Amino acid sequence: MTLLEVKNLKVEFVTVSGSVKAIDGVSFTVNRGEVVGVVGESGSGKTTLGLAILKILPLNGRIVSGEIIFDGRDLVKLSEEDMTKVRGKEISMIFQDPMTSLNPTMRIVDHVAEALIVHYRLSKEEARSKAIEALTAVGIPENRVLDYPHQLSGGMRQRVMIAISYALKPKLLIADEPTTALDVIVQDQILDLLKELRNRQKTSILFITHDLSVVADIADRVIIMYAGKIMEIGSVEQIYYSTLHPYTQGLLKSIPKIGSNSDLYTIPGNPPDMLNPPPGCRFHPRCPFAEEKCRKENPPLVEVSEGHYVACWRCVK
Amino acid sequence: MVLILLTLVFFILRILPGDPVRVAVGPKLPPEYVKKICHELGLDKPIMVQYFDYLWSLLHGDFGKSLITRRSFANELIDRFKASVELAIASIIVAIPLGLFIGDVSAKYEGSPLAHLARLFTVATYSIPVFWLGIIFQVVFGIWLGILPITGGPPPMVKYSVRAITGFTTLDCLLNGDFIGFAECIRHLILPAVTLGVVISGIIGKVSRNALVEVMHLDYVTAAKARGLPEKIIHDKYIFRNALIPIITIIGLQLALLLGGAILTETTFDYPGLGTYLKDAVLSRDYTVVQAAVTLYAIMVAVISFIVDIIYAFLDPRIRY
Repeated sequence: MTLLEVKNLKVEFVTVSGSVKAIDGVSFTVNRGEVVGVVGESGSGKTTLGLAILKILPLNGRIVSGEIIFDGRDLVKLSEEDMTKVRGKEISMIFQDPMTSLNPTMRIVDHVAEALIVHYRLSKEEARSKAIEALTAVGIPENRVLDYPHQLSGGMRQRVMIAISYALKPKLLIADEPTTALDVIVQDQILDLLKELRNRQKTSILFITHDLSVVADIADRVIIMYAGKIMEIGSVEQIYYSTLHPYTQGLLKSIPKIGSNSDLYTIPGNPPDMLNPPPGCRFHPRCPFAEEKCRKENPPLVEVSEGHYVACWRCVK
Repeated sequence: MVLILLTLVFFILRILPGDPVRVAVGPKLPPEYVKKICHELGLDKPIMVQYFDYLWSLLHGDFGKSLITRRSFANELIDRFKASVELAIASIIVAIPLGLFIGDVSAKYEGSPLAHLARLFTVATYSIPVFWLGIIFQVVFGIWLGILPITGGPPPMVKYSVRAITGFTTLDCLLNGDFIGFAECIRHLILPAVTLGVVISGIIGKVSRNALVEVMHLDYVTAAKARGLPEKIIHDKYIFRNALIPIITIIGLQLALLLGGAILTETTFDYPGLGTYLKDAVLSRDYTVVQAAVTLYAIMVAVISFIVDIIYAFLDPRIRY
């Protein structure tokens, strides 16, 4: 059952030197209870994708066209007032840097309670006890709930962010690099917590990251993004074992392997300047297989086997 | 800090050309008579002796006598100080809401014509001389429209007829139930208070705009939006609350400056505050009065900074002493 369907979404940012097409015609779906990983390097538009779905883009950003169908409604057409009811309650988001995602002048329990009061119209006492319940459920000891954010470690703060989502019971959680700023042990704990959240509440998760190994751990399906476009979509097995797109292949090859003495592989070149993206396939200047056609025409995203989509001329027969 | 300031003031005053006796008695007095007065006032002693005498009497709470009137001036000083406090409070009441409003508008509608207008206001008030604005107000409201008095401060008729309880004339009128006197005091306060208030609101507006804009783009504000919190909560609890520290700092600094007497404004409106008192004392080289006024000023700055520091701890849980 589809929960979220993004169709041909285009987002641009207006800057002094021109407009940047941060997301250029992206389409994908997220099913109920499914974890979908969005992988790409910095600047590929993955964070923008998360912000666009919630319609909280910075002032200079806007959705140019496309549809975001969530639970039967097109969010693009929804009014700002209706959106505030969707945000948090139906789609919530956690961010990359837990150190700065909480209000420094508010106790952590109030972060959770406040959201409950706004969305569920609970009384102060009810909201507080529910908030304490949610905080303890994500592993924050009860004697710490009155702490201020600066009294907690990064991992604990990310738990608070997850507790807010946990308490609000959203249908979709957008996790924007939730483990990037944390050390590996804490990273693992947070991933376990997210999996538990998914299992308990059947929450779908859109997991944004640049880390392919994290995605392999948590996701059911993976979307590979490059320069505002989707390069490949497939199940974790399809992406890791029957990789089709040269960019994905490059990404997989550049994961360091223990015991290997050879130099770490890097994809040659740099991501394109988004003010003047290259014509044709966005990846062609860095692609070892680029042909004449790749330089002129943009390859469509086509299904090559069940559930496995690729945007590469080599795979279009 | 206060001691360093006292020392500096003491010596700088004595380095300045001109001496109080000459100013007080005029140039035509025979030199032997001038010498006699100098001796009576202790001005012929070595400067270090004068300095330690001064500190010693200050420790005993004695500001000394005015070199000009040769009378104790403590009451006069306190009186002037209270008048300056009245003006300071009145202008800060004008400045805070106006400044915060300007700052809020220019932060909220960043990039729009309205915000540019608000920023233009802050730059304008920041750069116009306060006495010029005062004179414009006097001309417009005092002369053309004729609705407000052009001189400031409680009118003497009210000041000396009302029974003194606190020494703040405006407050005393209210406490005595003299509402006509109260209204008169307020009428005389409006122009100087608005003049000062407008100028200070520019600074408050500028600082609060910068603070608000900085906080507005922080992650926790985006996160609060992503939680679907209403705009009012985000503005009040997330943005404004966290921008308050620099705003309180600038308000505290401005208030301290005001309590020390706004010399230019008080002179423009002939307001009987600490500022005009200090100005007169400096012009007549009345060392003891200048020293006392500056001491009072230093104490005010220290007290206000202390209060501001305490407010910090209330505002931000990360600040603990």
